[in-house]
Amino acid sequence: MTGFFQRLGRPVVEFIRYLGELTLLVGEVFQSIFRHKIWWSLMWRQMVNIGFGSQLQVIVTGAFTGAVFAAQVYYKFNQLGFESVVGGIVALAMCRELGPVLTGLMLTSRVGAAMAAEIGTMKVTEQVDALRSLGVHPVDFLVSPRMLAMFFSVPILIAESLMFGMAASRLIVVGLYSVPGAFYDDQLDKNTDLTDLWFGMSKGLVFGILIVLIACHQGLNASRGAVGVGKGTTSAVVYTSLAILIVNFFLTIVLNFIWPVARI
Amino acid sequence: MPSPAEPSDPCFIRVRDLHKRIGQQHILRGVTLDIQRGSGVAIIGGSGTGKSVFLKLVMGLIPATSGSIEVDGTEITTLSERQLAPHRRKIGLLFQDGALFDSLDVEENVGFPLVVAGWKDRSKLRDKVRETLESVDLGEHLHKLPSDLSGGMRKRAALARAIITEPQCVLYDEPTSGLDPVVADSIDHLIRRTQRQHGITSIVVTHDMKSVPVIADQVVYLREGVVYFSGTPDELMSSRDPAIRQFVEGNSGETS
Repeated sequence: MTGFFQRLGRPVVEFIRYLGELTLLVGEVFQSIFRHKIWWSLMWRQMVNIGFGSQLQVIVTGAFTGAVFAAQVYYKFNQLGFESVVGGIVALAMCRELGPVLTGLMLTSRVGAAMAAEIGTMKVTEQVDALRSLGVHPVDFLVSPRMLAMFFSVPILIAESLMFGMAASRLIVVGLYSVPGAFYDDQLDKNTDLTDLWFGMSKGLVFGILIVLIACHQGLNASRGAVGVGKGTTSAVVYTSLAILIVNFFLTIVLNFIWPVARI
Repeated sequence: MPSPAEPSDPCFIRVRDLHKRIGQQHILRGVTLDIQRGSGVAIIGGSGTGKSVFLKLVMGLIPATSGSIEVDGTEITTLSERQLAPHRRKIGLLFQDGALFDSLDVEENVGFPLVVAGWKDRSKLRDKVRETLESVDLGEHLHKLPSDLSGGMRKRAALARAIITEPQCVLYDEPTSGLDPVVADSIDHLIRRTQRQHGITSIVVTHDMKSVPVIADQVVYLREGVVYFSGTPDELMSSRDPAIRQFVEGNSGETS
């Protein structure tokens, strides 16, 4: 019986410890950004990598998600004679859920994995210790520039994802299925407003922070050579993806109190 | 609380009853040692006796289990990561594999400590980097990435990075391991030259007994986690202690 509780308790304790370590890292990042030297050149480099380098992936994901979602909604709503509302529904879904979540998942696979692998390799090859030996705090040099770069890049990426998603949706519904553009635009205007954009941006910022935190934490704790770096990178992608999906649910509940869905 | 150093204190590093455990392993079991300013010290001992661990403890890269380490009059075992930064800038560390930053070329790697120290003037910074690289015979490889350098070149670049800020002390973790005898000899002389020219305290962890007379005024032999011998290279070589003789002669006692 004791063994059963031990087996049950160990993962719980490990999970709580993991959350504690992430919380300490958050504190360290805040301290680093507000009290210590900011490596602006590294931040710009990371912005190019995170922001500019992820654009194609984010735009393609947004555009095809918007197009396929519009097509599916149109098929059903056409049967009911409500095809003109497709624009409003797609815009709402893209702004509040699909845009931020899919952008977050795409950034996890592209940026989060790279961060965990790069920092993990630096850790196991003693480059992180070399930084420390030169009097540079690893969080100042490796985590904070990435966090700031993510903070400034994510809103732009989400805006691009939404713009291309909605444009693709209009192209499909108006261009392919011949729904009058004026009806489509009218429904889009009635069903969405600026608060939907804030809703999506807020989620995106939280997801961006999660990506940097989890990936950098995995990298900084990598050990045991190439195998350890591989495991850390995999864990970073899996943990971040799960965290995004779980946190998304709670954010939806909380943010709906702040920015409720617009009444028609 | 850290106590301010007496400027006239001839002892740069003072270690007292230092213990380090990693997991179940008790690696250092009460090391007590004084290292004088400007001296060259070789730390020798078998694999796994805690030589590299000792260097990392002196640098504050890993925490001590118990005991005291005083560097330039400051007790460092109680300092936080951020409090350790100014202390670390007094000491250069040459890692076993160089630990050069992959994403930076040789010039950027060597100039990095100056950027950290707040050097803004690019031309002055470049001149200092070139001068330091010349001193380690690596002046022609400024724009190569670490991956494009040979083992010896990587060590030279790492040495240049370690000494560019003219620290009071440089720690070398097996600087000649994996190098051919000629390159190893040139690195040994480079270490000695650097120490003498700049009055830098040098602590060199090595397995290479041929290096010891070249680089050291004092030899410390670590055995089973404690200082087993401390003396001059001549005293080491003339010792009749069986354990020391076995190590110095590299005799495993086996026959084939």
